[in-house]
Amino acid sequence: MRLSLIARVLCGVLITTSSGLASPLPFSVTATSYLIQVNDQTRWSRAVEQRLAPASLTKLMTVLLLMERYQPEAEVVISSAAARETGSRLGLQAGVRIHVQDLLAASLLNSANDACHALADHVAGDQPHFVALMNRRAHEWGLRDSHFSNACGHDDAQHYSSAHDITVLAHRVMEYSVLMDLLAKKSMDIGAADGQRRFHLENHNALVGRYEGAIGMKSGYTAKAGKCLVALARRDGVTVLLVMLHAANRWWDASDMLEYAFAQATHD
Amino acid sequence: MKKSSWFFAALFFSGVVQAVGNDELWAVTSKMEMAGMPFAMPGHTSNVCIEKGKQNDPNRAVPADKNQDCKMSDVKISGNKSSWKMACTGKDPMTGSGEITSGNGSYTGKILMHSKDGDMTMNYEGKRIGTCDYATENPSAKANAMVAQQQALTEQERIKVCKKAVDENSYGHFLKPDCSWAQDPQAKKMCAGMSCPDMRPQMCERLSKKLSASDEDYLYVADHKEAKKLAQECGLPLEKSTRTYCKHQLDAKDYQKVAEYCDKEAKPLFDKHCAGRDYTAAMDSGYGPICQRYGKWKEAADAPSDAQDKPSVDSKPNNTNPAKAILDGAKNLKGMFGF
Repeated sequence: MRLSLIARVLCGVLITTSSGLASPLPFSVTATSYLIQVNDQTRWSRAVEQRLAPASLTKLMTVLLLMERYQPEAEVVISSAAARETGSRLGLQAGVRIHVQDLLAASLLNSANDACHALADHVAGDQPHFVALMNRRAHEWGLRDSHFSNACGHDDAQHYSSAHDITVLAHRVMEYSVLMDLLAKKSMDIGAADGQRRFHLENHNALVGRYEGAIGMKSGYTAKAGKCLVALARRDGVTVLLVMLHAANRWWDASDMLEYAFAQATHD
Repeated sequence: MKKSSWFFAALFFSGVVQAVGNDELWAVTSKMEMAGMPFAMPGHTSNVCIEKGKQNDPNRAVPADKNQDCKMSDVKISGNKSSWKMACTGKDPMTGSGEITSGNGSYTGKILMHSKDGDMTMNYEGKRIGTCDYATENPSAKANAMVAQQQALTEQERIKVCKKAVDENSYGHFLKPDCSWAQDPQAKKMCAGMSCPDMRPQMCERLSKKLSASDEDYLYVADHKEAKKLAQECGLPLEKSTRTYCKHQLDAKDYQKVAEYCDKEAKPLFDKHCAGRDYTAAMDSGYGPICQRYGKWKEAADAPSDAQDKPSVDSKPNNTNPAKAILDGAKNLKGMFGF
């Protein structure tokens, strides 16, 4: 436990230190902020500490808090607040019972805000308590440029993060195989606990199943955040992590950036 | 004192001689003494072939070092006794004197040498023990024979390495060596000898057969830098082989291979199926590897550094159809919400 804590602290230091040295990419990328790590070493970055709206990348923090008390088979009753969620949603109605593991899948693959909200309710009782927990963890994990005002990534003046902090969250997500297994799926089907309704999930991360070596993570979009992405890819023992905030040409840029990182890694 | 001077002085009194001839074989014992040396060096006996009648020729004592310019002076021959003086200029200058007294089938003598490293005295005596052939046994001939032997060994080794390279298809051995580093003719010759030019035709023929044998064989050449370079040096129709290979990949719809090896074939496919298209649509079109191929960073390598960011539509650059780009952009915008 202590070793894990030290490793995480060191990881945070490493990102900060090396991102300070990392240079921008040698070609144009239309993202306000980005960070690329090759085998956990930050190689290229831009404005990694700039506070920006993270959109659905917020859900990385949400699912990490869920993992602290994960009961996959537990049933959650959808609250009316969860059912009222806007944006990307599964269409869950208040009162529907659904397993935690299915809400988790819907939150990660479809970025479903109703599922995400239901998970926050499940973990902390309601969203305000969950948000308090999010901010406590952000403080404990040294996320100096992050503050959350909701569980799922809606735009708000007090809801922000940075490429650096998202990278820290991404590394924590990588520690959970249950999360990584889900994030690597291109699609899957889930159902309500009573078996009455089925839902088909399509991973909103367009790289999964299309980009060679893509093994998941998370995309996000809001009007304020623009297009956001955390992409993880692995080829021949080389792992590349990419975080982009407020990007314009997200998928093509991401695939270009990943290709460049892999090409450079093989030259090293 | 310079090593080479010692070497030639030693050569003067050394050499194992077995041949039979008209010249005289002498057993020569020499003993060196150096000023300041706390102990006497042991005597050394060796058999030396001396041209008939020249056992007391002082010229034999002159070092044959190319780097030393040695001259004899004050040569005196009186009866069976000769004496001389010697001076060498060059890198390691030295002066010296010597004398030799011949007897019946024997001689004795002494050489004194002075250099910046100190003084040395060499006492020697010789005893005729048989006959020999000076033409083949003199120090210079022996040195030449040694060099020739070494060269032969080196050549044998080179042939061995080259044969192994042929067996193992080590194409790098047959490339024209880069001898730009070699300044003088000797270095150039040595550099040229580092490859296997004599066996290059054999390898060229083998490569030629390989190139047209199968797609796998073509790939082998395409993937191996040295094989590819040798194919070029051999003047093989690499371009034609590439086109043949690429046609096969197009027919087989193996767009991964087309993207990797067939730029000419890939480019029009990229323009048709990828440029300006939404990422998911392009990647799901079946031409994904080709769409992935032409990354922005690859363009950047050729483009001027002031290249501007592309418009903020999530579509692949290089679109040649603006209307299509707008449609794709609209589709893309539709898909953005809720991500």
